[in-house]
Amino acid sequence: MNAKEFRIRPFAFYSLLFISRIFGLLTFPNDGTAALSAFNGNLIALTYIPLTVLLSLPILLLRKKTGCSGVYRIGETHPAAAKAIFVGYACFFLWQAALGAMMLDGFSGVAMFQRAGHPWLMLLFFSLALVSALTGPETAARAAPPVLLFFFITAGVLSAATLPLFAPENLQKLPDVNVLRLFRNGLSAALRTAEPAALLFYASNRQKGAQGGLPLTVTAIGGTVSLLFTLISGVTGAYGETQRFQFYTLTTVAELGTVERMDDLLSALWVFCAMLKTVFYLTSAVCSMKKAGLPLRSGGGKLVLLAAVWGFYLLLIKAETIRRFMTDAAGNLAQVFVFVTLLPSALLCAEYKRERKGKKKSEAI
Amino acid sequence: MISLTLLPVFFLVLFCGCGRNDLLPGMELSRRLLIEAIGLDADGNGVTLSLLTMNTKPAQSGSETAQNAQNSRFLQFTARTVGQAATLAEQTTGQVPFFAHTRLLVIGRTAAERGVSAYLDFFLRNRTVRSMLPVCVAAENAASILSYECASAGGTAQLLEKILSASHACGKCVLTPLFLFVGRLLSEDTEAFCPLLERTDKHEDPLSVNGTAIFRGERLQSVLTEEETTALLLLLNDLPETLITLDGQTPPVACRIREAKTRFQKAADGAPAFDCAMHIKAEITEADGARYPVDRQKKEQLAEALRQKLAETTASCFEKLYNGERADLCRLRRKLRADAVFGDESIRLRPRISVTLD
Repeated sequence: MNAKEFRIRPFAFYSLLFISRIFGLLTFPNDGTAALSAFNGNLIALTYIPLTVLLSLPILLLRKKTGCSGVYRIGETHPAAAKAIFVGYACFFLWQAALGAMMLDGFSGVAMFQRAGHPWLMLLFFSLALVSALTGPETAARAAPPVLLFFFITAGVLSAATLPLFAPENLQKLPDVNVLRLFRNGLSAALRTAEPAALLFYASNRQKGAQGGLPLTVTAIGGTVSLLFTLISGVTGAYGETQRFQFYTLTTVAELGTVERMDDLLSALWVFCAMLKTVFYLTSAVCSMKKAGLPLRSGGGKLVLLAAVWGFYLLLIKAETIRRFMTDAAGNLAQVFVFVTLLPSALLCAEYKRERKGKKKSEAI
Repeated sequence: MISLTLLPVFFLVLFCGCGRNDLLPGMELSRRLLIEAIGLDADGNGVTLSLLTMNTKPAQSGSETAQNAQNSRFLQFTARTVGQAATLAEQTTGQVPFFAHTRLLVIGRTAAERGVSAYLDFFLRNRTVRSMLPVCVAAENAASILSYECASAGGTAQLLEKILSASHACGKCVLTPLFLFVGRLLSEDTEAFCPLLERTDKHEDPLSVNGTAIFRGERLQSVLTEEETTALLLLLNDLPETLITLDGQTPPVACRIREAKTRFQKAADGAPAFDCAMHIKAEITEADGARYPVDRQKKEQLAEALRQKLAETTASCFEKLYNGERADLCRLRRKLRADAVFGDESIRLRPRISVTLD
């Protein structure tokens, strides 16, 4: 197995991680049991940072120890187990890609094409994402920094446009007395962060940047969400708490000069981010499939994958039951825990065991 | 090569979205009920939803141009809930209601007195409703406002929107977008307010803003007059350029306030009062200067008269709001952490106004 083909710059990788996660957090945090005030939103964002780093610790340690060949090393002694793990990760990434695409589907149903047909556009979206994923991680890596720049420009423009409406008295809300609920929300947000799992498959040009980048990126995500939540709450007040997509609500009140509504800017950003998220996961899925030894280098293999994904998404578009199942399953956070924390922990244990065995052998010699 | 192949497919799919057939269920413009203004009136246990909709049907004949074709339609639906009434609108017209182009939401007086939360919830959950949608209360019922047939090209909704913004620009009307109205409605430390619209029998001026409707909780509580509305805007630090006529002057004198800054402070002596510093920059717009020259002494006298007038109107508005209605519209309790001031005793406003008159 040659790890070189999946090389990606750490900055590009963490840009992908940032883009892939930020909208999930901006739209998710409320667990639906109560309105989310700025104070609670910020507490959740701040709880999210250490919890995510903690949950990703096994991956970081494994990567530090073995580079990106943590799973592959198992293959030296148990090739079938390694293959099963690679296939498992491929399925996990494909699943996450489908959830990412559903994010766009959900948003388009809310803000872009109300009660109008858009399944074919979605299918085109998936197909483009898959084609770019099959070209290798370079496509996603190159697209990430400009999209990240676009995100920060949009956030800056929105802040400038809404700051005149900012009222500090909207912020003076006491935190939720139910600490357990806040912690549960923070943990739930952390348990949706599936992106670190991709660290097992991407090698980086500079290995040093790859480990320290995760805590930094997670802190940047938590900080950005916290800042934006403060802005949303300060501007929209109690009204914002009644809205499902609070960040979208912020864009609907933003006006800059003669430009009355900025929600189109968000729509564009949302499409870019959802696209990149889908590409990121599909690329990771392709990487793990290649490592599992699936014949994806050949044209036939690519076509089979393309047809399979098309078939799945056609089902997704047409079958309401599957969509409902996916929406329900998206709330099941155990899968992320398994692939981000549990499996890497097991691999790490196996690595330590192997090391100890090696030491014992050398001592015996 | 792949991108070249995909490009025609992309445009094929993109443009097919505009069509309407079983394969690609797009939404044509004529299938949308483009709503320009919404009216809500209480009707027994239900609600009457009045809609001013854009006429999206093409002109029937060549002679019928867009100018003389009817620009908007007035529709009314009565049902138990707002959602049911909207569904009724869809069933009756065969078009799907679309609220993104709505310019105004008018709540009838009876509905406002009964409580607006139940009526507004539908609009809060509907993603097509704009957060910046201006909210008003009708002096009688919302239908009477929206049913006015406007001869001008823009139609009644546009006329109402212009009336509101022009009145606000003159300092005679507050502007309350939906998100601020609901935010205040739900907030525990303040009360909601919005402009009061009135339909009169006057031929030249059938629709006008006639003060400000003040809510207590979710119910309409009282109404501020036009003069009190100007004072409220000054207290809210939101007064635009406003013309003030000074009483008791011969000849009559009018001043335009160019800039007004208001800042509240808790009374330093611990009294149940707020010190309010107002810095006003104004200019004389009318004083019959040809016959009565406005010298420095006269200017000072006029500045004093303006200062007195503003002190009186703001104090009386404050008295009505804080002691009469117990409505903390300026959010002083939270801004200044002034819980102790809001006791049983009546709260006084101690305005300190500085006027610079040019």
